[in-house]
Amino acid sequence: MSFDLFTCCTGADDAKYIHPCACPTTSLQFQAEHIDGVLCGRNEFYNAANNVYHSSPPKRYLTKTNTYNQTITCSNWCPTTVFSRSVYSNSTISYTFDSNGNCINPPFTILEVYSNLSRDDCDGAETTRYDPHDELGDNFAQSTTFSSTSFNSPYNCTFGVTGSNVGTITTTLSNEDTEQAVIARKTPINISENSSLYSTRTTGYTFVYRTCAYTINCSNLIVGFDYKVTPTIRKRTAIHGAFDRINYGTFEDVEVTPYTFTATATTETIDDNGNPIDVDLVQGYQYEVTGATIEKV
Amino acid sequence: MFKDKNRPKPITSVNDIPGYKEQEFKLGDQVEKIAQPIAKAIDAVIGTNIQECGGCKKRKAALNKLTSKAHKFK
Repeated sequence: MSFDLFTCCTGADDAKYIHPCACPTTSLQFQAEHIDGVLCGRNEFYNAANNVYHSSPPKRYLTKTNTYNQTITCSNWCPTTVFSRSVYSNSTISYTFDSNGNCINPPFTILEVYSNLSRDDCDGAETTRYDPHDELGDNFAQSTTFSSTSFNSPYNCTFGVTGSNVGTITTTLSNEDTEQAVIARKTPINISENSSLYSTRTTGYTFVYRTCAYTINCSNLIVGFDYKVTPTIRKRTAIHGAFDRINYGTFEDVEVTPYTFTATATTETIDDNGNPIDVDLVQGYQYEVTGATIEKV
Repeated sequence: MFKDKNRPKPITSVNDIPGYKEQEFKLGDQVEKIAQPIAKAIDAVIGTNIQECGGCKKRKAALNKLTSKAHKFK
């Protein structure tokens, strides 16, 4: 810090002087858009016993399709057995979004399939209800997007006859949701924040995405003098840990190229061609603008 | 304008974090860490051989199979 009678202050604390010379000062105005993002859909399957593990970071899928292969055998039906079908279409459910991009779970639906197998005097009429929401449990997963299991249970054939119900239910996940899709569909909240932030997911499905921009207002300038302005910026890692809390690293200073200008008035606004200056945004980091220095050059 | 001269590479997963190491968390191994000293003490006092118990090893393997990967910092 120095003080010169002719050139006035160069970063000195003006308040210390009996006759303050009105050092040039800066003030910053921020605007930020904040999104609390969460992936939508069915978690990818997991089954350690089959060496099927969640991805890192884990994924979610917007579409779930159940396939039912089923054969019912009843000795009193005509012909004796025959009830066999594969249900694929109409057994797909999809997650959707509201106008703000928030996830909506698929409505509860039942798929009914009617078969009339009666012939002669035998009663083989059958209506089967399939619920596309059926969850087989992760333990049956063969991959992160494919899970199937078989069933074999007694079946009430009516008239006191018990038959068998044998089949397989297969669930396939598709249409992966992504962070970029979440960012595109969500309506950001405008907040007063001096940092950008894009957290990295580890084992969860939530993340924070915040853009930040600012303008620097310089005052107490002397017309004709050259000034150098440097925002003070620092950054740190931002990793989403357990319980959706962000674990931050240690701040480190960010090196930027100063902006120089010749004062044409006692005030000057520094921006990016009429727009606020974007703060760096890098996934896994928070960038924070804590102030700006100005000095004559 | 005012961009980071040393802009880091994005961290898209934990594997991108310097010093981060993926480790397999095995519940069976963790239980063994606690149980082994106790077994050793019992063996020493009453002359049994619980430390080498076959059932224990099977249970350890079963627990290890059940548990999943976890992430830990070095």
